[in-house]
Amino acid sequence: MPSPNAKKNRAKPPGRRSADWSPAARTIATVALLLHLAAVVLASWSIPPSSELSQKAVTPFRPYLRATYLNVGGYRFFAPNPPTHSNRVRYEVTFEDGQKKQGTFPDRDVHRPRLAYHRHFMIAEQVVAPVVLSEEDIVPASLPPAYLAEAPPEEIKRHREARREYVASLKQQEPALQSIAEHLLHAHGAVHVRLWLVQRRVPTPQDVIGGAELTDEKWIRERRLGEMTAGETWQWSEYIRGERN
Amino acid sequence: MASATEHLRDTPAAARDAWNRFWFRPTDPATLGVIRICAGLLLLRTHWVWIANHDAFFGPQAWLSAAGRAAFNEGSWSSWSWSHLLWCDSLPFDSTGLIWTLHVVALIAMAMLTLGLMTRAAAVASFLFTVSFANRAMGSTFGLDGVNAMLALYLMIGPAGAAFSLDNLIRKRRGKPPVGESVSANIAIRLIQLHMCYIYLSAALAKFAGETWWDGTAMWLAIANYEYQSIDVTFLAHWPLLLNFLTHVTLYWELSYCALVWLPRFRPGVILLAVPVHLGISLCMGMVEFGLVMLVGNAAFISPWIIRKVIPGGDGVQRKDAKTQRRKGR
Repeated sequence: MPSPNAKKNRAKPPGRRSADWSPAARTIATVALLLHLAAVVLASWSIPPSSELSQKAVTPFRPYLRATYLNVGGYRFFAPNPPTHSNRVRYEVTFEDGQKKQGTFPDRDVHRPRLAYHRHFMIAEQVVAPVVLSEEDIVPASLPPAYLAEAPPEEIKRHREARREYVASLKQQEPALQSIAEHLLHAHGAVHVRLWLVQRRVPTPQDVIGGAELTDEKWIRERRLGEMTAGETWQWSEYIRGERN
Repeated sequence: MASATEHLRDTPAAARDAWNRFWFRPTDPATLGVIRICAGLLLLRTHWVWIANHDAFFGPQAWLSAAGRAAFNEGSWSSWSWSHLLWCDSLPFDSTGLIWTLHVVALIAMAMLTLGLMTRAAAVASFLFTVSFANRAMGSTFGLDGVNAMLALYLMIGPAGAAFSLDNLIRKRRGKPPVGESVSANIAIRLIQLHMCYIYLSAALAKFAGETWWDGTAMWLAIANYEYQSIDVTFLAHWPLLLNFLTHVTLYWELSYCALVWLPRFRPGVILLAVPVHLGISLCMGMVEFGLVMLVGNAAFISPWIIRKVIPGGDGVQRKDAKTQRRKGR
């Protein structure tokens, strides 16, 4: 509780002190502040997984949040868990004379300074890796005949539905992968490019104590993403399409 | 009963007074001035790296072309994620020259913000360019860009050029008095403070859903991730209890930040703990700019009198006034 003399004792800095705001100005500012703070809170609160309430509440604020770039990732840094894998993309470009060249992004030796490396790392992590994270994410084009013979009709219907959604999701991500492939073709002056997702598992402390290195090949798993020829469209690999049994 | 009634009657007025004191009490713009310099430098650094990689992120054959970006930028109201770079691309003529001119304008605006020259205009331009670049380069952005945009937004609101700035020197040279305490400086600082609190609270609450933050192994997963790693500290594998401790301290510090930072007794400790946390991220996980921008946000909790003490003179606010402010606990 400020003492009654607090105002009297208040130091006056030599600078010109701005006038106190009028009640009307304070009221307008209060409304603006409340709306802004509500937008900030709802932006994070509504990032999935989130409630229907938060989704509905944030809707009127979406244009403001997008226009001001306040709608970013919900500040969920390394949450709910830090990743157990990291992702890179390996590529192989083929030139007109048949020569091939390989590379990866991100690449510590190529993408400098470190901030540029991190930007490329984010493309691998945020754009490419979500295409497929594990075998379970892939909905195969067809179920094994032996299973089909005995599967209940609702199970087959569920699979068809899941497959339709999976194909739609691949279709939606196609322009991003096509864009990455076009970038590589253009950057290298090549005519064909193949991409693989390279996932590196984080070893346990016991592995490291036992002499393992983070760079050991045994932590790495590669999966072919697809390929593209200059002037054509992106083609997912059989693995991603779920057509390889 | 009478006192309870009186209390209920007085509560709205007390709440209104507290609200007005919190938001509308004029404050010395020194803290905002320091944040402006640090945030300005980080904006410059961020955009210098963007622009040095123009072809990769903004060129016609960027990693994410306009179509690729559109696929990534899904969801409602996506068209509000505006960018001048997209508008330039859609012009019916070769806009390469225009884009590069605007790149230079962006860097000049951020340099002016850092120096505090025509600060308000520079702050507005810096904010617009920050948002615009981040919206165009979706897919390659991360926490740094969100915090950059947040700081740039609030620097537009207060008199960020009222302290430690060329604007102030020019004002002095013209014989005008320096800008003193200001309501809008207080609003800008309060917004940064609250936003920082919410960032840490969101980060902590999300972590509570993860088992590695409970079993104490989250810190190991962070430091042993090769693609993030910039300094190898995996020798900590030999000290599992230390790794557990670091994990728990990080989580509980993030969780308690939004409460303890408002208590004068705990504030120095809470802010000082931000230094190893964010420098650790900077140095060990290769996110130097992100670690630094979070520390800049934390600077909003440093009282102006401390800043006046560390950077004496300048701007006409004398040391004795700093001492008076210290006595007032501001």
